Amino acid sequence: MKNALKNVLDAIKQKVDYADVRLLTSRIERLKVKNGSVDSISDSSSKGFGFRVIVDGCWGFSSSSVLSEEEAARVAEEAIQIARATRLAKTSDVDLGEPETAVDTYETRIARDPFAVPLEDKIAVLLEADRIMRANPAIKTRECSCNSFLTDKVFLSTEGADITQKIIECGGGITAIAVGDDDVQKRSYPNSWGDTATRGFEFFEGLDLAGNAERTAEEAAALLKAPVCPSGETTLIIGGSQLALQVHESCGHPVELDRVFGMEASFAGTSFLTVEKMGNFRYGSDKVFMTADATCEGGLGTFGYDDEGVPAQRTPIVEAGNFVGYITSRETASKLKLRSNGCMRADGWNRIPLIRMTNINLEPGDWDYDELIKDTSDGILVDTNKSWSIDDKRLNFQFGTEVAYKIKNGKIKEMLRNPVYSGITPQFWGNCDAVCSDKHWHIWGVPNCGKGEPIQLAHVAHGTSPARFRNVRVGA
Amino acid sequence: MMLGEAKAIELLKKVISLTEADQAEALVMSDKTGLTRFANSTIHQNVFEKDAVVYLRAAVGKKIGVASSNLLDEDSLKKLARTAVEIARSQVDNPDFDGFPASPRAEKVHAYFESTGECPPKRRAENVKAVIDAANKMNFLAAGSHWTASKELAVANSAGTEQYHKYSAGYLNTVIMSPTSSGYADGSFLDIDDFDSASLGDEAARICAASQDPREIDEGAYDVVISEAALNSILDWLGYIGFGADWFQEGRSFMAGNIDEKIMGNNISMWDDGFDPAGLPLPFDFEGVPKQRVDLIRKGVAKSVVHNTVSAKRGGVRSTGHALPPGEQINALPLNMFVGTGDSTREEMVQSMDRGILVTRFHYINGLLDPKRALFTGMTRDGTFFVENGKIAYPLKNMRFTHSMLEAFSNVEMISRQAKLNISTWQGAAVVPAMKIKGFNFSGKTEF
Repeated sequence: MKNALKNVLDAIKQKVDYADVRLLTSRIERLKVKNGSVDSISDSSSKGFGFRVIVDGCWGFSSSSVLSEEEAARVAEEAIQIARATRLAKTSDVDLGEPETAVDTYETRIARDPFAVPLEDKIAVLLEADRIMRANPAIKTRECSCNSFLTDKVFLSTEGADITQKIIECGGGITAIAVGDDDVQKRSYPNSWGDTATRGFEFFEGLDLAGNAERTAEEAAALLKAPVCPSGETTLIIGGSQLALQVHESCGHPVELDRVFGMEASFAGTSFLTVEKMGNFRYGSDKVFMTADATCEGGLGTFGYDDEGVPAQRTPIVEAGNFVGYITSRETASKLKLRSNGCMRADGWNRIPLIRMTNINLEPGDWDYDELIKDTSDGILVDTNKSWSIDDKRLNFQFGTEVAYKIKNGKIKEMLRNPVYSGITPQFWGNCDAVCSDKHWHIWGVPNCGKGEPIQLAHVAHGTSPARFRNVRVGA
Repeated sequence: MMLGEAKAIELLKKVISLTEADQAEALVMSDKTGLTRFANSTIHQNVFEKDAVVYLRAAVGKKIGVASSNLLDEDSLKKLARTAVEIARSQVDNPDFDGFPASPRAEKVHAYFESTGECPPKRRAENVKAVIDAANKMNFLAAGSHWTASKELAVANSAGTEQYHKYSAGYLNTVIMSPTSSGYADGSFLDIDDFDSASLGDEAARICAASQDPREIDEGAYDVVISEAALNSILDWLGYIGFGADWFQEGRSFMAGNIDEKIMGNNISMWDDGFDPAGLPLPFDFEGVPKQRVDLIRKGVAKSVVHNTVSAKRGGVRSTGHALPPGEQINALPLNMFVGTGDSTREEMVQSMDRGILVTRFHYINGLLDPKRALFTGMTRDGTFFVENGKIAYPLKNMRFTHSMLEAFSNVEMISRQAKLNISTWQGAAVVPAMKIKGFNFSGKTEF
């Protein structure tokens, strides 16, 4: 099929300013054990291709799952017709900047192919974790999952790019839900949506779900009896998994340059990080360093090339609290006279690429976690996301977490339930006075980042270690 | 790609015949969608896709395997059949599986309009142009999206069930922006010939103009008038955390332990009806079970939740015809919701307020804070106004609400007599009115 697509690209070259085509095959295997039985095992496959063209300065895109040269020619022509229709509402020509002409292959490095592991072996791990959680009588619902993803993609363009990639991802997690008379409490491990990485089955095995099941169940049960987290302004230490979502919502999304240019305005919104702020805005304290790094080994936002044929890169976003860079596409970068830093990805062959987070990381600081707790005279420790909400410019946020603990005189004290904290993004990051070291740093996979219409789900990640924030408002 | 009824059923029977399972159920969802997105008053995405995905559930005894694929050639279908059976054989027994249901043919409901199903990109671009023109008249910028689709759903199983439904749907939303404000409008339709995008553009431009230079007010409890779009976004979450069987049976839903109890006001009724042509009709579910009308809340009293065959077995009831596609994380959800109307207009609601807030749209609602209380949070956006003495006094900077929806729906003072169809980009739709709610808690504010 690749040759057929090459032939069609050659045939339409004279009719278009630019064209690219992606041929994509994906396979997703999902296993879920719920309350002692295998709730579902599914194996889904999808294959298709999509042509993206620029004609007279306007975009057109069409796609199909019928794999023949004749269909490819029809779909390419359809994309051209759509681009022509787009001219009705055009204000300027699309400019992609310098050509991207990579010819290369890329493959995720794995130790053990998750699709080659017998289903029975995966089920056994999940059932064992379930069995351990079942021993706790307060736990009414138990869920254990193992998910594997395979994406094979070919990218060809009229500029000469020819890239083949094979990306493998694997992960899973467990959840214990305790139900009281008028309350429901949940604990998850390793995170509320598990953890997933561009690694093989060895990553799932390393999660040790069974080894963490008893503690997870005990914590869910204990939350039913825990006092409600008090309201007020306090010092907050945020654990790594919750901080990953904090980075996601309050840094990752607002630095998407398509949002900044208003291209997502009607749905997800825009961004407070407008272009005049780049290099000229205090995003956080001098402890805050953030990067977009699609090259991290094992990160869920790691790949070889984006869906415009731009190589994966590491780009600074925030340096010592100063906002210094966006994540970009070819079209948006060229508006700022920059070259794309390779963040365009599509959720499937039938979707157009959008600017998506890669691994947006809070770089490690120099604090030891135990020392950070000891250094905190009065505060609250929160972790594991339960609820999330942020305004459409990414300023006012509110997060709920599964669990909290009181910190008093440098020690972690009693467990607290239903913690919620809120803030305004630059003020919140401006009050960050400590970030833990690389010893405590982990890249958390986020396999469900929604953006675009129709909604596209991207696999992204955030490297974080626990950090401390002063003067945070806690309570709804 | 559109298959048509005969081809779709033939395809499903073929897939079933290829399995070595004791029982099998096949489902095909086909889709042809064109989408035009615009921003800064220009079209920046114009896309088209067509696809058909076959799901196969194979049962070996009480063990079930699920496989799906969009490859419909003979070899791929054989592989699909093998994969589903292999998965089933590696499974453990599902005690709640009682066999795939033998369902009668669901009554046909007309829901397909060729004008929408075959809508060319030029017509979508013309509709978008009308919205952009409305923004240009005021020197504002328009953003939004406009899609049109034709879709098919067919289900067959080895117990003799055969169902087929074809429908069209479309949607346009727009945010029109000035340097200090924005205004929103949206519209859903089955037949694009009944759709007027220019009026949506005018409405969004009017809201944008009225919400320039917003002011800030203190947090606290205010009476609010919320639009149909705002209520629809609340209803999405309410359906997810409250009205599906899973969370109900696990004791996590606000409905759990409250059946036949009063949990909302007398003037609140919510139900699901897959046959009502005022919504987006879907006469059967993804197991091929014909939809029942289900009263969720009747005059403020919790009545029922929706089921598929598995949750129905657990609950000792019959499936209500609300199964989701195989492999989803949740068994059953209401996809055709309606909220009962009242006898007011939105203007009358505003006129009735001494001091309150008019909300055009909510953003990023989250309903997971405390599902038993239906405690939700979210932001206002695209047109929030302070009302004094029955009139809009001035525009407001956006605010965060954190409030129990059980409390909110116990304090509804007025409901509009008109309800509006809201079609989601996934399966499903809701028909909802506007409402005036007393004492709605705003817990925070933002800078714009």
